[in-house]
Amino acid sequence: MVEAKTTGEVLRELVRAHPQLQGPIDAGVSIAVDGRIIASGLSEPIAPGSEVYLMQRLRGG
Amino acid sequence: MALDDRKSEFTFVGTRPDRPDGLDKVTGRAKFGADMSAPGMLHGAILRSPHAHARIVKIDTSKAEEHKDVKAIVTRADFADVPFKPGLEGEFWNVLENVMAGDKALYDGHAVAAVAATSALAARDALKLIEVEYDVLPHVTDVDKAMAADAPVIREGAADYSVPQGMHPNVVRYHESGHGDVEAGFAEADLVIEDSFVTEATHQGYIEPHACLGALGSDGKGELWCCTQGHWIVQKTCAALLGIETSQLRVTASEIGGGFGGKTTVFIEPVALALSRKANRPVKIVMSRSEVFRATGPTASASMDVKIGMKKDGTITAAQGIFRLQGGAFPGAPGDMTAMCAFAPYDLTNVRQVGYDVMSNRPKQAAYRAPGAPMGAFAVESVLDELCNQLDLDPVDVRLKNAAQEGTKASYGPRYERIGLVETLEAAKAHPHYSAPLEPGQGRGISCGFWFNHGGETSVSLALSEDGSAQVMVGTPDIGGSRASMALMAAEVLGIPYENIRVTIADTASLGYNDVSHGSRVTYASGLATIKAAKHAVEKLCERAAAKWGIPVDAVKWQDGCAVPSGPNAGDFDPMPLADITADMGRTGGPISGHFEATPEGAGVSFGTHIVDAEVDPETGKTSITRYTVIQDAGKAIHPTYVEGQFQGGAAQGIGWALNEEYIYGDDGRLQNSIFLDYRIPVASDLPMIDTVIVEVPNPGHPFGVRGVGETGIVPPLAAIANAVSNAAGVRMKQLPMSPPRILAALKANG
Repeated sequence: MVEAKTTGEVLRELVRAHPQLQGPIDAGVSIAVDGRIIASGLSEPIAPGSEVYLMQRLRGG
Repeated sequence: MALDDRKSEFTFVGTRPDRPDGLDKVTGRAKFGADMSAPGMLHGAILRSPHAHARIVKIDTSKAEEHKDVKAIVTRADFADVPFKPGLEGEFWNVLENVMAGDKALYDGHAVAAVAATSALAARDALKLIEVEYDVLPHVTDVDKAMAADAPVIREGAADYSVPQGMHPNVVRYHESGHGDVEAGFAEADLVIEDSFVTEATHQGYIEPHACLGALGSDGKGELWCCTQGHWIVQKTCAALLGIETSQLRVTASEIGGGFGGKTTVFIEPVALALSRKANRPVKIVMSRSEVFRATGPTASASMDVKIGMKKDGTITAAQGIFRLQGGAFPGAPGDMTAMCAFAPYDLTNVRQVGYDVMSNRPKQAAYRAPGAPMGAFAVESVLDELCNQLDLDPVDVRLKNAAQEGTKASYGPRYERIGLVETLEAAKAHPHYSAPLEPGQGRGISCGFWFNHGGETSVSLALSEDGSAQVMVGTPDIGGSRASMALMAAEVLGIPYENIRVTIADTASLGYNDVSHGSRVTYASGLATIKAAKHAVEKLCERAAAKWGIPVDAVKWQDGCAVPSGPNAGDFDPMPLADITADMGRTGGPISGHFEATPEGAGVSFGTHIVDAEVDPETGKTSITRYTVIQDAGKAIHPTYVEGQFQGGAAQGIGWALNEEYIYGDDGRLQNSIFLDYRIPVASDLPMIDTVIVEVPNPGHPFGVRGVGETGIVPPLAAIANAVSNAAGVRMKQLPMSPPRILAALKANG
């Protein structure tokens, strides 16, 4: 359980609480906030009650 | 990013004007990668490994150096010392190792040395004078064999954190996701089908081979002209591989003759710069078609197991997929994307997907439109089709019954925002194609497809001229008509005609970092930035008008290309057209420009549904595609003709992938078909008229509702065509391409 108001805080707090997540996060993750996929931005706001989901960072052709 | 200015009524957006680069393209005036020359220019050529896997014992360049026309020779020692890291973290190392081999040649065609000479012929002749001593090693090119315990190890330590213990070192990344309990779901089903599928590697097949002209001085300052989908990634990568400062290298993108994801990295560019630095002359390199096939990125090949359970009424109770992708001798095969996209069209209670990224002795895979998604869709939608056949259910009805919609928990985790899958399925059901009778020997296939779409780093500037025309500088190479779309969006905001706007792909010295033209991002992200840059300019236009009228700026608004008083209390002034404000801008405060830069984070996912009719000749095994309809959600089509072009291009490439295209390797690990005569892409006579239906369910993440359209169109074709062919032939086709020999073998096996 971590407290965060932005996408960047989520990643920072997750690594603080679970250092073993450093590897996956360094390898690249995207964060879906209420279904909207934040590819890389660290300052996207997270409202109370939002669904937050970590995914492999997306790549495209 | 908050969007407070959404728009749904348009003047210019949605019209179909001629493309601004049309005359240049049809008259030959457009400058592509190979069209640039420089005084004193040398020609580069690259020596390539004939072995699939070999230790490089020694490279002797002495005889080549004595050649009178040779001015420089480079090997790996002429590049920077880039650190090795596992997985995709070490991508600069991976790219360098691919651009010029280090200790080992890793695939047939791998670059081992390069020459610059005074003519292209002399450069090629000099390659023959370079003596390379190889210690040939065992090789593997098949994904399943590359994962087996006895497979030769391509590189120890390449696997990242994600790979479970005990897997072969060739497995370098692992993905697993899903929700619910698939075993419980399968137990609830009336029918469970489990099957295995294989797809071969295919090349993006762009008509323009890679070409570049590079100049790099001993002072570390360089210029590079190249054919690319993204010149900032070229700048950044070349700088890292050559050990120079990024900002000292200016990269200009040429016109591009196709990319489809394959031109999102570098191959020859760092080599041309390394040769130039050594020779102190500009160096041009142009790949041959054979080099393109052997040494640039095809897509991954795949081996897949899919299991789906269904009730008699068509409800899917559980779905599971194992997707193994090989991406050549480097990490990067998009097994994770295959897994995440495979079941994304459906609302599933129980779903589990696993993706493997596997190395083999093949060229480094590169992105190819919706990388990874088409293969997964082929496997999943084939099993769905078979379930519909065996349960005697309508394939569109079954997909509608299970379709994901707003609020559905996606197979890859989060809940969907507003999406348009149901609308594409309803359009398919209502389309005359779906109810048209079939001739004997014909079959019909349906498939849905999904792709994420991308935003990415974006920077756009817009400058107004005194005569009231506008120039827009974007950083995303135009691979699909995007200059027209940018001009339409700028025209919409500024209120001046489309023809009065010139859109230029600016070089790396003119804008901040722009991500590559990939991920279906350009019309979305560069479009969003163009709209915001135009609005920025409009703010300044309103300020000038306010100053001229002597009223507060908040008493002025912009309407139909003119500054107007915002209400009756603001004053009684005639509308002031844009050109009246710019005419004397030099004397009223200086140039009027707009700028915007951001990483827009609302790309909006996209779905499509394809309907295909195929006819199979039982004598020869040849398949003809007799009718094809593409239906896809574009959010909002800015220039509908180019949206339709993307839909048709996806279908055409899908027809090639499904029916004929494949990398064929001999037992010696060498590519057997490295020219277009032997690698068969579809030509016009292979294709029917491809009908299109644009569905518009606006993307909430874009001011005009745009969703990317470039990639989703390649996701359904493999499956839709395989379903049509299987239904025509009366036998389930589980391996692509469905070339005549494979069809004949399947017909024979079926009796």
